[in-house]
Amino acid sequence: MQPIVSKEEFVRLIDQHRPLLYKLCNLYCPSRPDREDLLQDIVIQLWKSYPNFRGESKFSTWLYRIALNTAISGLRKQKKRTGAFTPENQHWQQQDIDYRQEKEAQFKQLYSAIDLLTAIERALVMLYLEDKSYQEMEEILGINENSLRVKMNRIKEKLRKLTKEANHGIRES
Amino acid sequence: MELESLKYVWKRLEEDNDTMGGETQILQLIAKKSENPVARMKHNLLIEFFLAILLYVPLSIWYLLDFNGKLPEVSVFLLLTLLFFSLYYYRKNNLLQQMQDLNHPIKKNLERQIGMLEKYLRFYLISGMVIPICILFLAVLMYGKLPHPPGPTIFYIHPAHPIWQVILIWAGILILATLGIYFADRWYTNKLYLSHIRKLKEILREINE
Repeated sequence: MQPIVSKEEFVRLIDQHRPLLYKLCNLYCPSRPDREDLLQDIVIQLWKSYPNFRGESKFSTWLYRIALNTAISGLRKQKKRTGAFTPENQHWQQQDIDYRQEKEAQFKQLYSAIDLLTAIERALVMLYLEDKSYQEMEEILGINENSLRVKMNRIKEKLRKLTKEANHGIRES
Repeated sequence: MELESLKYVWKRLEEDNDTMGGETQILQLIAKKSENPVARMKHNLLIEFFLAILLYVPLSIWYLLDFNGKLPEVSVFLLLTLLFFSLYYYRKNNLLQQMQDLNHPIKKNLERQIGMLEKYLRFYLISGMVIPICILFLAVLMYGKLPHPPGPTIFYIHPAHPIWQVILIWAGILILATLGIYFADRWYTNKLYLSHIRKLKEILREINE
């Protein structure tokens, strides 16, 4: 049974972390229906796990754990990220067309890079982009700090190499 | 591409997160039933258990009261089967419950998920193999109770053929049924979960590299 008294507190906390959940779903699910399913899964999972949160770690650390575990180890069939980053499938509708185009180009660049990564690399990149310390990354991922540094360097190198190859391919074709 | 250059874009994503409509939507989301496969497995298991109760209890009462009271053993057998099924339900539900506990770091969670999923599948396979044994037990029970068919038949002990032939034919049927159920279950569980287990192992291997 969920403690009724904590429901409002829980909703308030989740509301504060909305951007994080939104970005995480975008990171792991290319299509909108998949994203919505994942978001629902994560919020329900967080709600079910909330009674086990004893405040031993930061709320955000706990939230990352549950959300990433749901995204990575869930038995979920997914569609691939396909086509251009249209306003319809990315639900980023802006009035200013120039602004939108510029943003779309940036988001496309971001997600093109993310598409090249594995599930665990995505988690690492997300934590890195969120400016998490290696210590906090260790708490969330359960990987020791030294290995994390090695992995981060590999990811950076991989991104450099893959985007270089992709750009080279585009120029050739 | 430098990862550092993506930080700026990443921060800008926050400006656009308007897909969750605030606290009201969060309340709506937690009021919904989970569509997560593990939650669905738990739901199906519960339905399976209630169906077993609905089937076995009336059947057991029927065997107890009908047939001029000559088949109370069958009634007891059915209740024992239901008891076995209750234990089976409890164990499976317990494993699924543990699979829903995600309060662990990613690496530990992956190890737990793989271990529990493999345990769950092993348990499913072993439980499936109990079915032919139950059928055999029921057949032996009926054998002593029901009248034999007229004339010699290979399925019943009769002076017309040696006893080992009857044993052999029943053992053959039992082995074939057990193997058939085992391989059918294995094919089914592999179809459902094998690629997922492989995926999880691959992620874990990558973490440990």
